[in-house]
Amino acid sequence: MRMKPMMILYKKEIMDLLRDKKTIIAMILIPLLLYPSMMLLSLLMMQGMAKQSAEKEYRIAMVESEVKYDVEDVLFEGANEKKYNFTFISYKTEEEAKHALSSKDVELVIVSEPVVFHESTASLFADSKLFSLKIYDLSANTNSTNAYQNVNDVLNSYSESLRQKALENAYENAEEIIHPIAYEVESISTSEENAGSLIGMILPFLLIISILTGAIYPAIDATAGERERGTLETIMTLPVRKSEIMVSKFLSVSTIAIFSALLNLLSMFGMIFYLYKTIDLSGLGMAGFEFSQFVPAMISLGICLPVFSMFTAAVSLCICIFAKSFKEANNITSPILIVFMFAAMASILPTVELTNTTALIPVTNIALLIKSVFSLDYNPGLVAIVLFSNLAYCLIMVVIMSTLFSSEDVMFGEGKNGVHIFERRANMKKGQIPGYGDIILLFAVMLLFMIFASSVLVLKFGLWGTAIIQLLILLMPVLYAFYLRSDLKELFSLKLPKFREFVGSIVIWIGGLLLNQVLLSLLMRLFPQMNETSQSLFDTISGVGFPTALIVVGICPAIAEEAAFRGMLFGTLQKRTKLIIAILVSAVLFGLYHMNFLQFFAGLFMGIIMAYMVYKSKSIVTSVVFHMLNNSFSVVGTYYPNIIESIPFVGSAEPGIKEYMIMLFAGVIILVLGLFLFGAFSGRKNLAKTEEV
Amino acid sequence: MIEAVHLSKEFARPVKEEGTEKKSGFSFGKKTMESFYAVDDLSFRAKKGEILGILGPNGAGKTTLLRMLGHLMTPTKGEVIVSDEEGNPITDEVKIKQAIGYLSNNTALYGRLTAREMFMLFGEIYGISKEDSAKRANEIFHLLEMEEFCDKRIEKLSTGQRQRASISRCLIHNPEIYIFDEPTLGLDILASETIIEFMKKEKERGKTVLYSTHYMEEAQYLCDRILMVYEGKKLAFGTPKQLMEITESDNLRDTFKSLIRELGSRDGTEVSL
Repeated sequence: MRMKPMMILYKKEIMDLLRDKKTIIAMILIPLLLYPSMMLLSLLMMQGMAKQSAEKEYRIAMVESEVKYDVEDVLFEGANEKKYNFTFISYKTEEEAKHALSSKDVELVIVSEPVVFHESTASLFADSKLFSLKIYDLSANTNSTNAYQNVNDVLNSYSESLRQKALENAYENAEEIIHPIAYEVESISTSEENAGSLIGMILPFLLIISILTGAIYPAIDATAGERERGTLETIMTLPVRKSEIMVSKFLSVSTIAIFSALLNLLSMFGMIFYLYKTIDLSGLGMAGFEFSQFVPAMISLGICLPVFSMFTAAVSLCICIFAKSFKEANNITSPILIVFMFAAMASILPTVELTNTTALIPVTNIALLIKSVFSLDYNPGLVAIVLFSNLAYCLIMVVIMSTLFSSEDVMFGEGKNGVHIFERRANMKKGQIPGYGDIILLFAVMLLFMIFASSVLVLKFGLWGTAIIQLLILLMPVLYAFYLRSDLKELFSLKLPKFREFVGSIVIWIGGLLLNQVLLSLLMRLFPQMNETSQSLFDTISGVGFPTALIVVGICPAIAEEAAFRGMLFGTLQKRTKLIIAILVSAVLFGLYHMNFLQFFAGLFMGIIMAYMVYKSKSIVTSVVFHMLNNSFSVVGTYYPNIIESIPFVGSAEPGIKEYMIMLFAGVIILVLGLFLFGAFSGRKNLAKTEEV
Repeated sequence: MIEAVHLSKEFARPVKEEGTEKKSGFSFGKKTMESFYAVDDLSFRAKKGEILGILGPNGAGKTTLLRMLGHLMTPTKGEVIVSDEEGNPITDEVKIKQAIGYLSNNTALYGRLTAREMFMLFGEIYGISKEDSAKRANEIFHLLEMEEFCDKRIEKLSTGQRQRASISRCLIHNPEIYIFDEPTLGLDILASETIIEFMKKEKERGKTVLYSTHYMEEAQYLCDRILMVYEGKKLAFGTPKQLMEITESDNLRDTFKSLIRELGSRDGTEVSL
């Protein structure tokens, strides 16, 4: 790569992009106008609402009685003190007043009666206004309940003051009786933190989407736009290398994305500064807010956001390069938008925080970083992880991008629409095979669902939450494929297996189990710090009976995950690419789905075997049986550990090298036997090497 | 000088299936890909100071052939050799592109730039100094009568004006070889005249011009030699006169038809034009 032509191309790209109105709007106008005004509006609304509820006037019906004026005096004084606003309306009888309440002429009815205290206490309350009350409200009406709360508040304070006075009359050191245990409460959160966490919830989402729109438009223009206008071929006639073209495009789109990000950041801080200067923030719990505290936050964001913008630019370019027109590009970029939105939503969930793990999830890590930076509880180590993981993802995307740019299929091709879901269903062909984009989208949605939504469901519904999750995981691929009008029978390999294949899947499972044990213990020895046992499984099913656990943990996931991974994902890949790639990619995705270091390898290993079984038998039942046995084995192990322990080798607590060698050997033999039942060795191609890994 | 040696390009295309529409609910139109040669073993050489025409119906592989000659695409088999004035082959891809001016109906211009801005930018990429580019721009804009619109945004130009701007774009670096892919397609008489005149002038200056078309009359009048391609294969190669003599016809249109008919009868399939 040579610098000079690259810089000239870069100059050309920037010049070209900056003369496009759409880019200018996405880059400058959106951050400068739309989104601060949105924030401002919502803050003003919040403030307005707070004021409104405080100052609202409540009408109170007072039924005639001897002490009516006493009550009114007490309420009136209390209202003045607490800034409430009561209007008193007199009614002759209780009935009339209640009628007025139900026809909403008043918010509250107060019936008062004089009260006579016992002699010994009456002296303590000398000169005080005493009465007993009966209050009617409309519990379904917010105004009425608010009125009651205000009245209740006033009366409580009044009672408290009476009590204090009485005690003071009776005892010398009344304070000791009133507050026998003295304590003070002081919130550790500073008002900066309060302000920050409020902003930190909404802001990451806005910021990420804003950066993405800032990157997508120039990316579309620089790829699909060039193709549609026919300038892509022109640029290729120039004496420059494809890599130089690619880098110049990447740099120019990044420049615009970074510019847009910084503009966002500036406009955001400008807005906060403006709010700080002009509006009384004390009403929002932000009194004593110190603007300078946010300067380090701004600096760390100033470093991380440009890197994230570059990542976003690379992702957008990689997707847009497949589109042959603006329209198509808009179509295929909508999944990025959805995935980014999902991932950014993490910042809104209160339980998700920036940790060593979440700092590695792309997009989510930036959202959480912004959130933590604004709550002023970030640590520099995590900021560094976010920064470097974003750099790494950015590099990966650039590598993918250069592969795509050097591919003639992509550059001169008719454009492959990788995502079909956003097309109109009526235009879809029956029996359509999902695109690569479709399965990536599905996988991303499933993964994000598992990361964010599933914990909420489990917390709320316990074991039933797990069942709901599995049902949703099952529905996602099936409905997706149904919407695409794919041939469900073919895509999901819905066919009964032959009897020998059925037996074969059980045999393969036994072999796979032995090998998996060897694999896992090997990994645990290599990476002892990663030893996260299946404690979570134990937590999930604790407190339910064995049959329920077997169904929810053993059987449901087997069906749901098979529909997704061996059905939609492998089914699509199988139609679109070489077998070996289809098997490996579906298995890697299956491993990633487990989001656990050890389970990744177990999932990868099992995924390879199961995909091969489905390929060979054309029946998903085989892999469902395998998966079911595998999960049920863990459930049995949790409920009846002695059964597992009684199995030779597998159950032994501390197997030595000898045991491992036997397990390895036996595992391979049983696996081969099972594969034999699948007819793996009868075909022309001997694929045995593929599955033994 | 530019030479094609056993040039082939393989592509994948979906297999056309007959009778895929079954009535049962779960029929599955299997979309399997097959490979085919868009350009199949073509060898020829274009000399200095000649116009070599490449003729063929749509889908004959003309564009793919020219893209490979222009080094926009890499051949599956064979190679394209571009030599300098001493006859030494140039090996560096970047230098090869310096020697070629490529123009097709797919090489549009940047609408948001003016012709002059683009000329200057591309000049820089070709390694020409700013002063030289500016001088050359004025010369070429004068030659192509572009002075009145060379500072307008290209998106605001008419088709004919754009075509002239396109030509000016391939002239920037004064290449030895011109590759024009259907340059007159869809143009009115005046606009195509400009291009034809331009090709003739460049030929007289000793440049090599390779050009594809399916206007037979134009080719007959303009070309020194003609390569006829059909389904990626060489159908005939020679001067227009030679080609017409083989088929005993007095125009290229009939020559082309009878050559294809002959090919069809050899294969035993009927060729429809």
